[in-house]
Amino acid sequence: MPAETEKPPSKRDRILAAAAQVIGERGLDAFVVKDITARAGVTPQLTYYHFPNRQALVRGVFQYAAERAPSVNLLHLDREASGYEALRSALHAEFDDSPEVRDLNLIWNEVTALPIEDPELAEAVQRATERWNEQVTIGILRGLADGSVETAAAPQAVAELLTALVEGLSQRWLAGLITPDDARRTLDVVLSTIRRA
Amino acid sequence: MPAAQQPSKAESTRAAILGAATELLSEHGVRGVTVEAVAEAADVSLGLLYYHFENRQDLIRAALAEALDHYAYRRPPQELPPAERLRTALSQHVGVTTEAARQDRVYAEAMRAAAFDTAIRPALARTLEGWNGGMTRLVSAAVPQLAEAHPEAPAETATALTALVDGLQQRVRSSLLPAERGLELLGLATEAVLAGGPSDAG
Repeated sequence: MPAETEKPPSKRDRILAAAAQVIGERGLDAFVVKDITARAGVTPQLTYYHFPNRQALVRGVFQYAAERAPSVNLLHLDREASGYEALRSALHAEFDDSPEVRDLNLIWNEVTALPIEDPELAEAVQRATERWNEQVTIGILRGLADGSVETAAAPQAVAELLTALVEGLSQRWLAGLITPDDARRTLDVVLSTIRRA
Repeated sequence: MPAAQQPSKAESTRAAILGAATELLSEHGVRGVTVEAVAEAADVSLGLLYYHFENRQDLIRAALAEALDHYAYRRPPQELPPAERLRTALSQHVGVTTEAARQDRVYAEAMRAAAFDTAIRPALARTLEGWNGGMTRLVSAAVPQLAEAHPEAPAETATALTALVDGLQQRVRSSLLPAERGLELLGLATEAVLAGGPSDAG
């Protein structure tokens, strides 16, 4: 689409970054598009051009958050560490009170906590969850290959279980019931079962 | 007649409104709880509803707290062996057709709302404490060696299992994971943490 590519891509990302902040502060049910436009410093027309309705904006923000999830992106950077340690620090990085990480988690949590009504969004969530599971599976395979991970269970199943656990802990952390440190400690209880002694 | 001798009319009206609100909550979630719908279901006027609850948020807070404080855990049968009791207790929360699912929906709604409304946190914290406490007792009974190794180990293990159940339940509820797969993953994790080491479950 030529019209799309001629636009500086940073404008769209600026809107999404602002949207992530506003939704992180107020939630999916209460956010106001005007606040996003104001924070991004763009015109309502431009916001409308990229995201013609609220649903489109929510899908865009979800995608934005999913692409930036620490545990998806950090996993492959740490080449020096063992597979187990790389996996552990990538998953630990999801629990962080810094606004950027917290906002990403909040958006994910807001979208996935309850049945998803928008079918297009449901599909995007399915794809993002699969991608997350794949990345964690690759991390486990790396650990199996370098001998830092040991499990008789299928790597894919272990990955699914770990990402579901991260989501369960994330809910509690975002709800103010546990600290990021608590979440990491609890995650370690399960992670340690696949660490090779 | 002295007012104290019977539950006052005001109290029973308030209870009826709260009952209607919690009913709507478990059926349609926070989004489905409008003051109009609650007033209609409780058969009271909007004016009367606003006499008891300042606004919609006040009503939702009270309804969530009410539902959370009455969260009823179904205890697994005493005659089961301890490990089996633990598995039964956990797995009743993974699935959308179980009796627990309605209560769990309210718990999930409260969890989501608490991120923005700190007033909901105390009731939610009590529910989570009860959920973790119950599972800690079952873990201790299933694997007595855990407490011998470290006094906090049963509680930590139980907390990990309940968090996993919360995560799996969310995926099942959002149709991202079939319930059978959720149960399979829960079984895998339960075996692994109870063994206290690398899983040898196939």
